[in-house]
Amino acid sequence: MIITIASFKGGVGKTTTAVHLAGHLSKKGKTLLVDGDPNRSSSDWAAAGLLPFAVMDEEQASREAKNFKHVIIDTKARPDESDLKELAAHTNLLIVPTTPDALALKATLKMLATLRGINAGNYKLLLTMIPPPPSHDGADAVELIKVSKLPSFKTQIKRYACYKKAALQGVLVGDVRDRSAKVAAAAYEQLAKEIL
Amino acid sequence: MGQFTGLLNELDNAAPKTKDTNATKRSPEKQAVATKETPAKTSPNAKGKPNNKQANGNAVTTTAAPMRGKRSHPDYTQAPAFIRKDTYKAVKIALLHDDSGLDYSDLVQHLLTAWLANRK
Repeated sequence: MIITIASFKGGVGKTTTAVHLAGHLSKKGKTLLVDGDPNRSSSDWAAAGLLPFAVMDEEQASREAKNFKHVIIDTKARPDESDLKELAAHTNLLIVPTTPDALALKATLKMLATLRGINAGNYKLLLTMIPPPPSHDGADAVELIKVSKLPSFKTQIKRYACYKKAALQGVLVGDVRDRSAKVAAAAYEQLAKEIL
Repeated sequence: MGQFTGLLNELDNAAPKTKDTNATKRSPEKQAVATKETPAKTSPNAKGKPNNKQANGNAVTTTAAPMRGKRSHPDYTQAPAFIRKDTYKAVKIALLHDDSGLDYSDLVQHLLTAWLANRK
């Protein structure tokens, strides 16, 4: 299975989503995470060598990808329309992570317009970094998605500090010593189940 | 050639493409049917920047001071009101779909100004 993670806005949880999806898919088969972001955030996350899947840049991946059952492609923020078109055409699923704030949602609506413009149909929104109450941002974003009939995952990713700890330690969030780690890991496990 | 062309070609050659998952229906979503307000971009402008005109229309002479937000602008006040939740949500959604740069405060200002003008 080939899955692309893309969004018009940075800082919405693309790499966190890519890393944890790859972590869950690696239980089902040999998995490759392609780090297509010039910031090389996925590669930095994997630098400690503690992740259960391979991480490569797109150049190396083009030589090795055939040896993997699952390929996750992490992209830079605001990918070119031509890249987006190519990715949408060649991947099984395009995940568009978005935080529930107005700025990110605006950017996401623009991205969806672009995806509609290139006749992509295999995409779904993923709400990420949902702040805890008393914030209404998560509920409001769900309402927007529902009213606008946008394709989205039932799974939502709440904001937990342990995701950042996981990135710093170079591990999956379930391996972090934190009281929210299990819940945070379960969210991506739920997402993987929803996809498969 | 795009950033991922080589990789995607290789993946296409390596294995037949799996069918889309059930999760990915090829029916583009419909946009929310929301009434769009199109207020004039006049006073204050639709970008949320307070204008530099007094009530009499005369321009205020200003130095090159940094632009302030409405919260700290002396010509603006925060005016809470009770609005039905469903109306508020519908307005926020409509504003997200609106590309004019209009925000909630701009919209309220426009509507109130129009109401006052209509009473004359």
